Amino acid sequence: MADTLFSTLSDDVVLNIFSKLEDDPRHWARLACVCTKFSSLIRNVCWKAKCCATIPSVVADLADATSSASSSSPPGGWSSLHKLAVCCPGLLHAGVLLENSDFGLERELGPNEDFSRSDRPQPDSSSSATAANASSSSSSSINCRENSVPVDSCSWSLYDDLYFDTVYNTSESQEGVQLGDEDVAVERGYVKVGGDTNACKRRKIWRSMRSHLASGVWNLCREQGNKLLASRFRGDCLYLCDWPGCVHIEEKRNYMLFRGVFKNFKRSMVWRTINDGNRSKIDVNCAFCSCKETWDLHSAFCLRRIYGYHDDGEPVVRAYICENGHVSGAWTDLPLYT
Amino acid sequence: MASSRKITLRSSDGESFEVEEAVAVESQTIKHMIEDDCADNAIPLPNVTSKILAKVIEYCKKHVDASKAEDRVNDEDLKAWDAAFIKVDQVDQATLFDLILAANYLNIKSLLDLTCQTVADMIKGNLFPVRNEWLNFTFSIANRELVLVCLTEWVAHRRLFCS
Repeated sequence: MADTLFSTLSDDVVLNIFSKLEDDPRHWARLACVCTKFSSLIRNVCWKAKCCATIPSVVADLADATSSASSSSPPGGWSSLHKLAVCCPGLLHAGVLLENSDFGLERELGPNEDFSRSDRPQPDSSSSATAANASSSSSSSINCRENSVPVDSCSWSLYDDLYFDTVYNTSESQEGVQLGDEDVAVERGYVKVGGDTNACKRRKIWRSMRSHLASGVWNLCREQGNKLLASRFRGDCLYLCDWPGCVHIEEKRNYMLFRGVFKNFKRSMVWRTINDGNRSKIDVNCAFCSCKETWDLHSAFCLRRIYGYHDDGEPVVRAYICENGHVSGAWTDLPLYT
Repeated sequence: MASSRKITLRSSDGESFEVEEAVAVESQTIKHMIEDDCADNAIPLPNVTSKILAKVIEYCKKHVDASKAEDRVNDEDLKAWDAAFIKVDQVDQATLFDLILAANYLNIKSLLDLTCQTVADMIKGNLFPVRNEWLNFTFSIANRELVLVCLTEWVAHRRLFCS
């Protein structure tokens, strides 16, 4: 009997059921994908209530900023704000996988035309370089995939690796559909590198690249934002997650991934600097909303000057910001000079 | 000692149930009806069938008995009884949802919480992933019907959902 049992329930009963699932953010995320009724309930009620309960100061601040606007939800919606609180952007969205060996000059100045595409140096054995190639080739298909998501501003990617966390079925990688192809592309990149990776390790590598539930406390506060920005941006209000954020242990170094949001981004000094400087956007899409491109704050000189570079061209701290003011980035340990 | 006045409840299919007042007032709805003096004759419950009403009465009776001083049942045992009462193979899913509706209509908070928690646990245990372009649920045998439920909801709303 395929009766729609849930449709017999009134909204408050459905919300009663949902309220019993609030401990793990993944439950609401999955439910929001089931149908429009669930989706609208979760977006408009559940996530809003959860944000107001867990990060009331941030909500109050953001509400002040948009009080003149007709909608009372923060930019990107309550789903974005909730995701900011609980989800680490992953190495992909924090820009860790971008090529850095030339101090980011290729992104700034454009590619070096002297070398043809086929002569590009092959990726070395480090997983991050291979991932960069895999991710850049799949980033366009990631963008396509984001386009195909029907719900507007759906910040929870349906192909979130949380899905893979729960169902890992090797047979699915054989399917010839968009999802399958992409996964095979990324997966093969790692399998080549890994050597004797078993399924668990493949999944573990996978998880750290895409956005996932952050380890540590799920909170946003302003102090961390002050630590990040250069002194002339002290007037801007940036909320960042608590230190150290979600720690990723990689081969070369450890990354402390953070995420945050600007209050009133379009009226901030950072925005003015980016806009006036006519900065170009990077092909890293925001993990928290549907923005396809972001700006690099490091090369826009918005971060504090004492954070320099490592020997191999990697910046000590990097941050990427989207149109809605969502920030994703990564700290690394400062190099010790003898 | 509470008065042992008997209240008659009539289900939607005409069956009458006689219960003690203490049991009947577990339902806030019935309690208000009694207070408003509407309970001289049988109280009609047009939204509840006899099958469901019988189960609700069974639940309320157990909980009233459990709180009586002479018969005190400790919390653990009561929880175990609740779990057995609502167990999915005892109570099929249609009945579970009917119980939710009845508990909501009759305003019995503890039964409503119990049934909603059961559905929540089924959703949790299921861990079904959703892809919206074409549906490919993987699900455990026990929860197949719940997934079908959600699947039908999706299909019904697909045109709106995929616009």
